[in-house]
Amino acid sequence: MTDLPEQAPLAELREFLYSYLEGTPRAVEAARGVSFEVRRGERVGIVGPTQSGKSTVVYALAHLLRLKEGQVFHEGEDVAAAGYDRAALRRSVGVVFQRPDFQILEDVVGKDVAFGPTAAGVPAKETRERVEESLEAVGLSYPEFRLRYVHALSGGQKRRVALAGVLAMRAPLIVLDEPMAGLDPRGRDELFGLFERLREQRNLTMVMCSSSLADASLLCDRLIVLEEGRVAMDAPVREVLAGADRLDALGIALPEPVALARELRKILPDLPTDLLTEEELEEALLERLGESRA
Amino acid sequence: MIEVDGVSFAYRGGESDAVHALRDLDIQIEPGRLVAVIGHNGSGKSTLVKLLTAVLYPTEGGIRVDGVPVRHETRWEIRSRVSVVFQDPDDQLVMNRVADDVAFGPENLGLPREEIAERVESALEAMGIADISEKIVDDLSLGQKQRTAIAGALAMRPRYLILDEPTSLLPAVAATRLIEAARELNRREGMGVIHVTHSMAEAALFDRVIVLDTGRLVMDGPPSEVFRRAEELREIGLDVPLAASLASRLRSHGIPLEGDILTDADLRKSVFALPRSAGDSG
Amino acid sequence: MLELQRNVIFGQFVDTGSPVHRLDVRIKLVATALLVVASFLVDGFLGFALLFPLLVVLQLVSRVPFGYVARGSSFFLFFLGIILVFQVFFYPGEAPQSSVLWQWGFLSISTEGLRFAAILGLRVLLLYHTTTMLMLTTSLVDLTNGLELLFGPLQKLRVPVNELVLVGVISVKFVPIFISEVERLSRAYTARGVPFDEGGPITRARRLGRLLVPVFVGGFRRADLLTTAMDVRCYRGGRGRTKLRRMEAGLTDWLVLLMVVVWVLAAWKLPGLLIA
Ligand SMILES: Nc1ncnc2c1ncn2[C@@H]1O[C@H](COP(=O)(O)OP(=O)(O)OP(=O)(O)O)[C@@H](O)[C@H]1O
Ligand SMILES: Nc1ncnc2c1ncn2[C@@H]1O[C@H](COP(=O)(O)OP(=O)(O)OP(=O)(O)O)[C@@H](O)[C@H]1O
Ligand SMILES: [Mg+2]
Ligand SMILES: [Mg+2]
Repeated sequence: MTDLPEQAPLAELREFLYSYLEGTPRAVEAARGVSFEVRRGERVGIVGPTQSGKSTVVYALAHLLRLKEGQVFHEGEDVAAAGYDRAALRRSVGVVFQRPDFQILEDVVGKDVAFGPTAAGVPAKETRERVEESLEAVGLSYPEFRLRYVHALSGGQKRRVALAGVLAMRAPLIVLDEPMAGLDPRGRDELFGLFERLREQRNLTMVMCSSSLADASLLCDRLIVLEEGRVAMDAPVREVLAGADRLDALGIALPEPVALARELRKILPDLPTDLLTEEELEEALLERLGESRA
Repeated sequence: MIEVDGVSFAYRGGESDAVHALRDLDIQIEPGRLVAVIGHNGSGKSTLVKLLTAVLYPTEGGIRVDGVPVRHETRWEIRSRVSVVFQDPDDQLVMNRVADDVAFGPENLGLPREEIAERVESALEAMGIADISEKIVDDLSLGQKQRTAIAGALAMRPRYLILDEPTSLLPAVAATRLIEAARELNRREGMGVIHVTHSMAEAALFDRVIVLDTGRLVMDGPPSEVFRRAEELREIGLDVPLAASLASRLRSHGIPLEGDILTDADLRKSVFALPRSAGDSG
Repeated sequence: MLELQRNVIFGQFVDTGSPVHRLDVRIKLVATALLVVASFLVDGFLGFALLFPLLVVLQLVSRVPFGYVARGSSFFLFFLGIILVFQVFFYPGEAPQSSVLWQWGFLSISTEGLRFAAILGLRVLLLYHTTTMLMLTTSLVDLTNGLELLFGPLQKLRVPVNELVLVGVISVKFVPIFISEVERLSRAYTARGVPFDEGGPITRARRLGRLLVPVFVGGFRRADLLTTAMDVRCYRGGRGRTKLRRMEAGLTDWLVLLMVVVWVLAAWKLPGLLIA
């Protein structure tokens, strides 16, 4: 076991508070006491309606905000403490921002993907390999896209470049802010597969934010529900989904199969509440409809 | 009527070759229709939108809107008929109060004050944001900003409203509400809506679905027809709505579901209509 | 982390709905212009002392927190401070030997120099505070409409007033865009391994320099998107534009203007009369 009981969680927030534009008339309290931990190898989904503070939490995990001491910890160490090695923290936390334009720094695709590894001092040859591997992993052909200008890409292509840039950093913890927005259906499937592989091969730890449960519930083991800067729920996926009505009221979209099952429950009241995938739903329906025909 | 006639478009590249974003496209859209456009990333959807609003002009072929050819000289005429809302509201809102931003378009048209006021009011009403009309845009949530942007387009009273992935930055609930608002306007005022999306479930709610694949038109028809071709759609990186794919799986297991099934409600109705034996699903 | 948005107020609009916000824009613009003129006319500590309460009243009535304005101006005040120090040391005017307080080589401090720098400082502060308060309390639309009306007569001389005004006002809007661009980029660089919150002042300054090009590229990209968005909404450089908002100056507006006129006149003339 890698996860010894006494080992500190990989990332942890304790009563994390944050206000944007503090001290101005437009100050916004974005996080009002958020606490949770992320253990090694775990995949945690942070879901919540819009403006609930998801992106703020993402920034906090990589220390991209003005943090106060005693609130954000990485491997048990306070990241805001004086003398803490922030450079190392940022090498070990890869962040994919909510919008690709917030993140892409270079004008040419290949250069941008190479930015992280280069800044971390990875040798040129390995950087090149990583760039190729990352671009292919997000479904962009290396020879075709390497020299393309970023501003001349479609919305979905930009998002893929942003993701490739973070993958190339090979960080043990990846934090993704709405990674599926603007991707076509195949892109989504490919990303699911990619994250699955990364976890198996590299024991990657993942935190993923979304305003919809569709993506998070398929990919994550545990869900944290944020509401107005506070944690409203923190539980394994199926447990959270059992409270579908509450999520609905918060304006969090349910995964498609869950929503469909909910609709069908109007006529098949005994359909279980925790059907996550199309296959599970199919099976449950076959059981009921198949036998009703027999 | 929007007529796209043999249109091709290539972005002239810098060092690399030109990117052929659209190839030999023929599309006719009657006024007052609800049309969804789907296609993989980079298939040319946004390019098409820019051609329809005279932001770009075709490399080959021609486009006419209500008989007016889309050219540089006619762009104002075109833009008063076709309004567009892009993906990111932060890049579209010009003024800093909601009502002022919504009024920006009609003011440019040089309309009398009373008419501007009336248009602004009804656009705000239609998007359900009348209560925030005096708020500062910077203080709004993304969903509210997006609605403000759409209200700004509506206030132009266009014959056609084009939405380029307005929902991909929105949570699904807000997205559904937005589409409902668009349908309502279509019903009341006969405004045509052309909606670009990556959500198959959203596309299924429209009268007609146009499918692009690397710049070519590959399918065009009512959703019931388009989503019947599940295999082809998957081949070009797309999918079908969950209810449709589930229905076809159930059918392949011999369950005789009737009718076209595209939405969750369709599936429920078909399941309900199944012949049943006594004492089931108890 | 860089938090520029917190610390720069240029181009911001803070809507507190106060009486200052509700004042007719034209009146507000004329009053501001008067105060700007006053900052050149008034020449003496007494005059500025007379004007000072007006600024205090303005600040209080507008309900824009003073702390916010002060912090947002720290950059500006810092530079002003430096310039004034130079003014003192290199006072160009004639200073009788008796008034020299301190001298070292060609550097000297004289009472004349001090007085000159102090008056200059007060002038700039008055100028800065009134224009800043104008922007903080006036929305872009009001500003546009007001300026267009005031300069409208110039249209007869074929000056493209509408275009110029809107372009000017929109460029005010771009300042916050550029500022948020700097913040956004510094965050992106930091996340990807080039930190902006480490190292000595020199390292930091060098890194900021590195932002220069991308900030402009990013800023112009956003400007370009915004222009396209304006374009598709039929913005043709303000030609033939009509207005939603009506401007009506009521009795209060005129009274406010009268008060400012009297106050400025008092600050300008009274000190002379008192001394005489
Ligand atoms: N740079 C900023 N300046 C000022 N306020 C901000 C900034 N970023 C976020 N906020 C505010 O902080 C609050 C939380 O925002 P945050 O972006 O963390 O929410 P979110 O859950 O990610 O929302 P979304 O789903 O819209 O991305 C919101 O009220 C938002 O308006
Ligand atoms: N300004 C540009 N210069 C050069 N090529 C461009 C430019 N904009 C887009 N392209 C290319 O044109 C093709 C079509 O792009 P478009 O933006 O129309 O796609 P899209 O269907 O909207 O994709 P998405 O779903 O990702 O938004 C893509 O291959 C893209 O890389
Ligand atoms: Mg967010
Ligand atoms: Mg697009």
